[in-house]
Amino acid sequence: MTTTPLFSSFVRLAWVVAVAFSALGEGSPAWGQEASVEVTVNSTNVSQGDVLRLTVTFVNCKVREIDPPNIQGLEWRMGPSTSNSTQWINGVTTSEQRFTYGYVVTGSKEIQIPSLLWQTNEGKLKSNPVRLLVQGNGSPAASQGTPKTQSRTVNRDLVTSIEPSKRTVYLGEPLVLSYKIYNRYNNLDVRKYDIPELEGFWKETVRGPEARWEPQLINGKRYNVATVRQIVAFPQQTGTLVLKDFTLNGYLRINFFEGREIQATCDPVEIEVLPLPESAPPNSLGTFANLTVEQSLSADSLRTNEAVTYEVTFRGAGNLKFVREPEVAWPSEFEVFDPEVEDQISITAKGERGSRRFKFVAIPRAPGDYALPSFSATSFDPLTGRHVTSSAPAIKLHVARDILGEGEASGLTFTHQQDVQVLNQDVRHILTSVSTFYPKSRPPWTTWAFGLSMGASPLLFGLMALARRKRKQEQRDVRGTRRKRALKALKQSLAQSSPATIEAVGEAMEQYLMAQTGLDRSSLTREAVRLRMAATDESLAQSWDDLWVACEMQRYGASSGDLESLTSRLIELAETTENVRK
Amino acid sequence: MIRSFLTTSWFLVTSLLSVAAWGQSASRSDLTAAFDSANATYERGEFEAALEQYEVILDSHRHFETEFNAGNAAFKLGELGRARLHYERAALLQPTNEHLEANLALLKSKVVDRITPIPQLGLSNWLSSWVGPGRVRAWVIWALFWWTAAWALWGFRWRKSSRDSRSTLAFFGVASLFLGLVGLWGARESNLRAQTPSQLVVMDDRVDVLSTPSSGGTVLFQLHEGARACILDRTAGWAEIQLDNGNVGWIPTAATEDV
Repeated sequence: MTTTPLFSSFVRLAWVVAVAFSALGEGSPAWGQEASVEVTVNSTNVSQGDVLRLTVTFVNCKVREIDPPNIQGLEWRMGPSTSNSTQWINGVTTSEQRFTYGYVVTGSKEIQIPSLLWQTNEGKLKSNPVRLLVQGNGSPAASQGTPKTQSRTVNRDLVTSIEPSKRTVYLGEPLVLSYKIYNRYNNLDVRKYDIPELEGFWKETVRGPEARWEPQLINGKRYNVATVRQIVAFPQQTGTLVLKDFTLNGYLRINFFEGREIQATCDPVEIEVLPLPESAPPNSLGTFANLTVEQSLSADSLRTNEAVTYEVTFRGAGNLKFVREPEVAWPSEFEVFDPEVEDQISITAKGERGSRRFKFVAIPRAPGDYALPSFSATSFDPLTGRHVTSSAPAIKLHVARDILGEGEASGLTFTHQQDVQVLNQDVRHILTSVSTFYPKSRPPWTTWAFGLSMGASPLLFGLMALARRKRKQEQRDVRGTRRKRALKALKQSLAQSSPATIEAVGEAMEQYLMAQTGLDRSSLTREAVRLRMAATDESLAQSWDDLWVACEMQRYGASSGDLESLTSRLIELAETTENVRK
Repeated sequence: MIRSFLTTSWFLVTSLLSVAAWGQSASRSDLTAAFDSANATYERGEFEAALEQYEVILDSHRHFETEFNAGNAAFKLGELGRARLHYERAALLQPTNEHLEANLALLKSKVVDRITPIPQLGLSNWLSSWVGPGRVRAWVIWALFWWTAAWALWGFRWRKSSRDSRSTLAFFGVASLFLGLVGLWGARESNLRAQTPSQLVVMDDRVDVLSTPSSGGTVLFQLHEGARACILDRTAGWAEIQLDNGNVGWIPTAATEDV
């Protein structure tokens, strides 16, 4: 980007015309102003290494040609570039002839441009003195410590600037950042400029024509201004965000063979990002101006297994690329494919505006009347400062049964299955069945149930052992056992013989006497019983003898005594015998 | 005579069991009523009141369903630490319950700290699973079964006349007795582990885990509500813990609750 060729041609042409015109007017009595010579510089505060422009203006006088003045502390590098101008104001003519030179500052502290004597057509004229203040070293390395002052004070002929369209925005509200270069040099080659990363912003670059210099008058000074980039930025965090470090590296050409590197940087720019004044609803899309939403179907009636296109369109100003695929409440009978996203978004210096359209292709697999519910989108409108909701009305769709082909008598030509989608998660329901409550204070083996369960087995085992031991003893002493059980056996026999007969009573008595005396049936006689019983007790032997006689009397009819009393006598005598022989 | 012995002993045993069962059932009916009442409160959506009722039962008793339901109520209230505590206690009683595993998995996904367990020796895992606190009941049943089997085998041995059969039954009787004693040891060990908490759950929103049991120690890592850790050691007001991923540090016990 060089301004020299066109601009220089224009200057030369103007100079030729001015000289010709002044030549025509030379000697004219119209010159009514006093002749003078002025020396001016572009800056009186300079640094070593800076290029100083020194202009010598001859007012109402002419010179043919002058050499660059030799000034201590300044080293001539280029020039002169000349220009002429003539003004007629109220019949008074004023002409000016300017010679501009380029000097490099080599002196330190203070440089005096003294009054110089100039030979003009109006005679010798003195120019005014100029004092320059030199501030340290102006090299790029030394300027790193104070970039701000260097950029503005030392090198204000070349300035970079970040110019936001707004200084205070809401979260997500777009603003346009213009990166500009202000230049007063005619022979500047812009070699490189760095656009810093925007921390805390989502950005979209505005596509525009290639940057070019445009003249602009600022505080009475003529600048060439180039807008090298424009960015639409969307702040993504609240607070004060600082934009800085827009730097420029250029090459300032002094003459054909010489030149020097030059650098410029910008002042930091603060952007105040405000939080949204209301808490955003859960389904908020973000910050948009005039956001509207529409939904439409390509048909309102079709047959099963025919495709229909469903479109959801978001339209407004804002970062529409942030708008995600909408969640549509599709009927489960619809097979839906991934949407096609169609953007018509224009990013200009005014911001981002346009529409984003989601096109779904859906195929109803079952007949019926369906309704897609109304669709709404909520966003924060920075113009009104509140959340607004745009809604699209519900859409109805009639799906008729598909025309059956051959062999499709059932009408169910397609089985549409899909995985069950887990929409939410929750804990399983409480348990209502009741298991055992375990007291915390005691372990399980201190419970009654455990103790009994553990004790039952050895207890049963012990009882069985006792029983087994007793049974063995009985097996070893058969006679004794029989004798012990004689009374019980007698009573059982008598109880079982009902009605009682003398034969049954006799049999029971014989069994008892055999058990008590140890005699078998063949040797059981009246005399033998009496002798055995007499060994124990004489009266007992007599009693048994009497009972024996009574039984025989009863059996053979010699006596008609009472059988019941006879039975009672038998039991009574047996019990007496048990007691006596114990 | 034998029949009379058996009849007498059977009567004795059943009488004692009935008395014991009567005593148990009286207490159980009260607990069941309290449990049902808490469930009804939960069903009405009054989770805070339900949780209090569940915890009243749990003050004096261990009960799997009550712990599980208390965990559910705490989860509904968003108290992840309390929910984790009750679920972990329920896991001590029935570690393999399907519903409990599902709820614990869901709860873990909500806890801030994701702790990936490092692989451990299979033997220690196996041993821990066999004598874990939730195995008391199984060990008791095991012990009762083999204890009873041992006495039954010895009793049955008397009916055998063959010398070989009697020797075989005697051997199996001794073996059963040994298994029964192993069951008693297992029950005692499991109960010991249930009585001595070996895990804790973080109840505070966030707590620092330090290198030493003092507030001046270096902060090693932070745990959040619902995280669980194993207890290695204790001092006054502090517990040395180890996470499942192997990290070890000291945590103030005021911010935790023992499982």
